Amino acid sequence: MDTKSLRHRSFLRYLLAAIAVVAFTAVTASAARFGTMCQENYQNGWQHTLPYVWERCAYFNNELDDTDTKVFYYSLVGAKPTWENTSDQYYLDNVDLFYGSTHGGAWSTASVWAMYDQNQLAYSSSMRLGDEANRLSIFSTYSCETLKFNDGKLWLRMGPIFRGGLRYATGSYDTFWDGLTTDETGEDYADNLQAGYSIKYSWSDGNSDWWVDNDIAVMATGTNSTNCFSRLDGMTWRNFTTYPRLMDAQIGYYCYRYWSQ
Amino acid sequence: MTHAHTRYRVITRGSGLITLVLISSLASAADFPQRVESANRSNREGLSRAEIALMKAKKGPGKDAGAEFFMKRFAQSKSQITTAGPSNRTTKKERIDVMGQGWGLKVYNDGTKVRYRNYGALDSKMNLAKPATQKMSLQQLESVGRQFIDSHLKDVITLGPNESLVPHFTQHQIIGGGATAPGAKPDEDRVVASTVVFSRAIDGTPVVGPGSKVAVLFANDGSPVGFDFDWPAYEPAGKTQKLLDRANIQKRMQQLASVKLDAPNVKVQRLECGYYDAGNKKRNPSNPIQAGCLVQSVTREIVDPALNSKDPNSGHILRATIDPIPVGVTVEPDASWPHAAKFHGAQLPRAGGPAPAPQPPATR
Repeated sequence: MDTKSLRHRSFLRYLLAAIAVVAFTAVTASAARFGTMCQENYQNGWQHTLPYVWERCAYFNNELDDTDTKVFYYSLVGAKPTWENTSDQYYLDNVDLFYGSTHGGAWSTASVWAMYDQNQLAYSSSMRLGDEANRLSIFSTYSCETLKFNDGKLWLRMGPIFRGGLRYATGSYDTFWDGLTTDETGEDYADNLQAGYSIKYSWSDGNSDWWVDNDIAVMATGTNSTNCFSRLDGMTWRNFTTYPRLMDAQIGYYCYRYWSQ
Repeated sequence: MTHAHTRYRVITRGSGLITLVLISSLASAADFPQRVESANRSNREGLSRAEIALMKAKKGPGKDAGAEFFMKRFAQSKSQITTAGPSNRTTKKERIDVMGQGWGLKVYNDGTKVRYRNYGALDSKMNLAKPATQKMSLQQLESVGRQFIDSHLKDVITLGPNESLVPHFTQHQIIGGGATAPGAKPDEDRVVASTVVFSRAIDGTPVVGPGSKVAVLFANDGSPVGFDFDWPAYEPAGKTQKLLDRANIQKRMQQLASVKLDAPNVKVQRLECGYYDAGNKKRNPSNPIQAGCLVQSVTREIVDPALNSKDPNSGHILRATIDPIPVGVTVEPDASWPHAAKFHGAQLPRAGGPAPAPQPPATR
């Protein structure tokens, strides 16, 4: 090979490397969109007050908006339609990551989240996320039980949400504790996401402090088992768009990881 | 969680009449016997002593020095606890984050809280997943955990006079899933990693709360892939604190807990008494480490009685609350501990809530 060809090849290598660096920087630096909805107290006391919710959510926002775009932060007053199919395109489906903190429960046919308004719950059976507007990718709630799996009904409850193309859900399979030592769980989750940890470890590390035995769980979908665990394990706050959305009949498998004491 | 132990519950009625009632407790199978015994003792007797010597947390070396220390310590490591290779360091107000190839190190505030994880190494061992029933035992995890601490953390997990390192509980990472086809049964759960957590006791009195904890994370082949600790050195504060007896602890709990603990739909899952250390991020080093009882309670609220009467697994909402209750006869001032601050008329600043979402357009 003559000198000119070598120089040419060398130039191409540098060019490709520079393009790769620029592309990587563009991906890692591009701000994603997130939204937060939380509730500490409830209309007429229909649910017990959760004294540290405002701190948990405010700290989450303050951390993540250092690097990403906070699209909204709302209470759960009148919020049922914003979670369910009625109006989710203006709220939950209008961001990449949604973070919420309120009471939760796992019923035989649906996971439920308590709204502020008396007797109002958002039902997973009335939710379908990832199919409208910005299209939600990551649905994270600091609420009890909503990812309960040990009754074999996890897919029955969470399937309606995922069938819209949602990529990832994080939550609890039993209890999430509200107290002084858990008011920073949102901030820690956001910090881990920013640092580049996978979503599963961001959620687990953010919600563990070796005192409060939070029952942490994460969940994803796949075309089959291998595909599902690859998505569950590999997705991060910076690469989630590289995982194709799976909707309806494309989903052949659901998978989860939990931290059990 | 399994719930196999027995404890006493104290119910206060009317004008101070105290009744001890034997009820079923909810200690976890992942708890070491020392924690179970400590919980049982707390339920029976509170701290089971009349007074304690107040302690103070010594200031650590700082987050910069802490980060330097661990970066150097594991730079030449041949194990999966390593800081070798290129890394990216970010300094924030509260902590330093160092991210390497597959690993991450966080050092907080004064350097006495540290978290290291090599999740790249752990994720490369997913082929070692095994049935959850074959997870590492309490004894195995205590043994390998102590070995790791002795070999790598002995100079930071220091023990003062009359202090001991006590096995606390274990945690397992478990994966599962299933086909989405109608009628498909879930696949068998498999364990992929395990963690052992140790705590500290001072003169036999446990330290409760996030402070004084050290944890080591192991892959299924027994190799360590992470550790973390919140472990300041303590020194006597030069004062003692007289303690409430069990009956008066119960009164204090009823007075300060954010839940009505004797309500029929409330279960106290844990009651653990000792020195209360709120941990690095909450601890105010100028305040003494004083006596407290941690109360974890779960409320099961029926919100749809008609549905719940047809299906007991539906129609409910769970509320899980943790309250650190100060149990000194005289409570030392501690502005960072809301339950203690109430005794000194202090109101901690609190975050406010956001506005409701604006009404969306009327039609889709």
